Amino acid sequence: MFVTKDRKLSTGSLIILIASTLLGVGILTGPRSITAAVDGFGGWIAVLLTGLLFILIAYAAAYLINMFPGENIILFGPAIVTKPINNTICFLYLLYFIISTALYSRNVADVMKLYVLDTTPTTVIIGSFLLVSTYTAVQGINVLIRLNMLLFPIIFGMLGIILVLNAGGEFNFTEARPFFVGDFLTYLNGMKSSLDIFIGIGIIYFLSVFLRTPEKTGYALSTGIIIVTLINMIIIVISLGVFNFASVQNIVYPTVELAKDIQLPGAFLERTESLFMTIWVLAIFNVVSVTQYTVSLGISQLFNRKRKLWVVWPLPIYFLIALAPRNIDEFFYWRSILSYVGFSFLLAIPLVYILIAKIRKVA
Amino acid sequence: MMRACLYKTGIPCLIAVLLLSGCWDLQEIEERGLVIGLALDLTDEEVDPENMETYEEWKKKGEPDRVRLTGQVAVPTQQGGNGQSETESQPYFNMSTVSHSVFDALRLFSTRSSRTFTLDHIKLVAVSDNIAASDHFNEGLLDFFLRDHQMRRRMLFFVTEGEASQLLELEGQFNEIPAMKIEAVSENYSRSNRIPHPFAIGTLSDEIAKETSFIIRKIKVTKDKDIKVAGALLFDGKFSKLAGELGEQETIAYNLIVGEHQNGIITAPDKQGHIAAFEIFSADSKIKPTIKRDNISFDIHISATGHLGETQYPGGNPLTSKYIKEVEEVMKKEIETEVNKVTEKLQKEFKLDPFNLLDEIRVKNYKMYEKVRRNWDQGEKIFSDVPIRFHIDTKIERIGISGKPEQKEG
Repeated sequence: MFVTKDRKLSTGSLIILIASTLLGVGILTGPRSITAAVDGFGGWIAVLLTGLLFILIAYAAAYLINMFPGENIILFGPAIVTKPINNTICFLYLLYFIISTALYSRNVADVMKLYVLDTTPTTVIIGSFLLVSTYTAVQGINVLIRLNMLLFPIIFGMLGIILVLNAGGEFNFTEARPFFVGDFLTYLNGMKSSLDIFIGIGIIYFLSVFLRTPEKTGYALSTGIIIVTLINMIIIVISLGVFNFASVQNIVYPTVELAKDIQLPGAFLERTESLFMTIWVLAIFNVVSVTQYTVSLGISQLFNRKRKLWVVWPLPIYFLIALAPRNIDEFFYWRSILSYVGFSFLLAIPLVYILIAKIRKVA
Repeated sequence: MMRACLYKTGIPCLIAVLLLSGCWDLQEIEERGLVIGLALDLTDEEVDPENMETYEEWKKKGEPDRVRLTGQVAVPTQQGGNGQSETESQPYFNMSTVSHSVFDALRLFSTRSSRTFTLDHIKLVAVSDNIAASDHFNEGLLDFFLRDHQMRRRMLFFVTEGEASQLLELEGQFNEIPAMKIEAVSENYSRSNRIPHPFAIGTLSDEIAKETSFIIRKIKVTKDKDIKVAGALLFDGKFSKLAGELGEQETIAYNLIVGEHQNGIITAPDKQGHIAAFEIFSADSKIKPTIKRDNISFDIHISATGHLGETQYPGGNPLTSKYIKEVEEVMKKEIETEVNKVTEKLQKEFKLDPFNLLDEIRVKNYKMYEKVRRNWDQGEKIFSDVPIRFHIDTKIERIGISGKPEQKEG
């Protein structure tokens, strides 16, 4: 059976792990999809509301995890909902992680091919990307934490530079206003399309075995969520001001265009988008390797297998799923479906498990 | 032992060599052609590949006209050799192709040259005025410039009078690359109030998406192959299509209204009929919408600060504050008439709103905005009946170095 001798995830590293796994995901397309969903303005409110909702969910998840410190859903689940049911739920959740991870790597390939690597085949980009992330995921949680801590400041700093330079440059305050418009229904619509920024926090149900201070999980999760919420809100407002409410809905990757727009006097820094792309790939690399690790951990616990091998064996599955969407439209459709699936897992697990645990008095 | 060694190091090394040793997208810089300017014209010339249908056959199908794309390509090795006085060859070359689509025309460049063309460094895109006035300006011909990933939103966009390709064939005093020269000239807007703000292609796509009317500077190639940038072209927001033209005086007034007036001179006779020139250093404008129930009106406050550049005053030097005030008053009147004239023209004649007054309504009252946005300068044309009041304030801060101080009599 699976036992951890040392608990490696401190509160600080959990904050960074969560922030950097959430940061890469919605950042490229968020301004477009959310602005389109709220039909113009108030996208930032939708993101803020979604962030608050996820803080509530995070505290619920933390409550569940706190009931069984040092365990994760696969270890404490059987006591609550019996082993077959728990294993089925976990297996489906892991399947969801596999599909979403595969789609992230597809996203990398699409964007890289469009902006930087024109003639490199998609298969090669996806393949090499997955090989590197697999290599990282094999190493285990220690390496992942260290890598996240290393990369997070770079990603964060790059985004900061882009936002500051744009805010000081082409940003037009009139285009970004009014800030408070729309009714609850439009916000709800916007929240639906900002779900996929945050659903990555589901990894905590599996990684909770490593928590050094389980009682601070809620705090750590919500801090990570707050960081990501703020960044996404600022990006939405700035891309509204730099483009405008109508134009931003027409640009497939508004954040890359923001990066492209930067031009310092004297041609000192041209082609900033290639720098930005590199760093964004690092961010997605974080996400993919952490979820790959989570999947391998889950499988090794469920079927009592060796973890390192089970990072490698699902590789063809990732690869095939990544190649499955035929075009970018289909890809976005898959992503939106997956975001609902992920959200329902995220929401249902703490609610159902806590309720049943209370009724059956397991603890 | 040997076998283990092979598995553990040999195979990873092999894979690493395969994956890391090269770049799929490698392209030597010497083999690249940096396109720095593109010009687009409508044409009835034949398409380049000879087996294609003729122009008549093409037209019969009711398809759009063919386009001629002219590209200016910089030659990096021959550029910037200062010190060496005699460089016979030009630092650039032009090539032009004809096709049905802009993208295809661009690809046809490759059939003519040994270089691979990169679009990352384009400085400007120019289209001729008959493209701008045609129906497929927005829907068809501009799409490529907004869609292609290599295109930058910062590229300058120009509409030329006559053929756009002339623009890339300029001959100037300094033997510059024409595209670079135009870019430099367009930065001079801060020295003259007769031209609108530079217009990037990103702004164009924003305006088209928003369906608001907008103004683009007009550019003209003179007979001695030099350029003149002056005046402005007005575009209809709904159809993104050339709708009219503003003269130089009207452009000055427009710049003052939208607060983009950088630096310029306003000349008017003073009360005695002598010519005075007022140089505006800084002009500011504030647009305030007033919305009462269904009535919308605007108050536009323009304040201009500057100095007295010239007074053709025959007797003595006028330095009295009375005279300065008089000139201020005259300039205020002058600006007021110009500003009212252009507003009148836009409201009654063109019925288009390039001031983006709709944005001010949106910021102030979103419900009202939702109500009028479809009928502002389209549909019912609410804009043309909206009262716009101007409040102008002029201030002369300096009068130059000549002038007799005011002398107290007695």
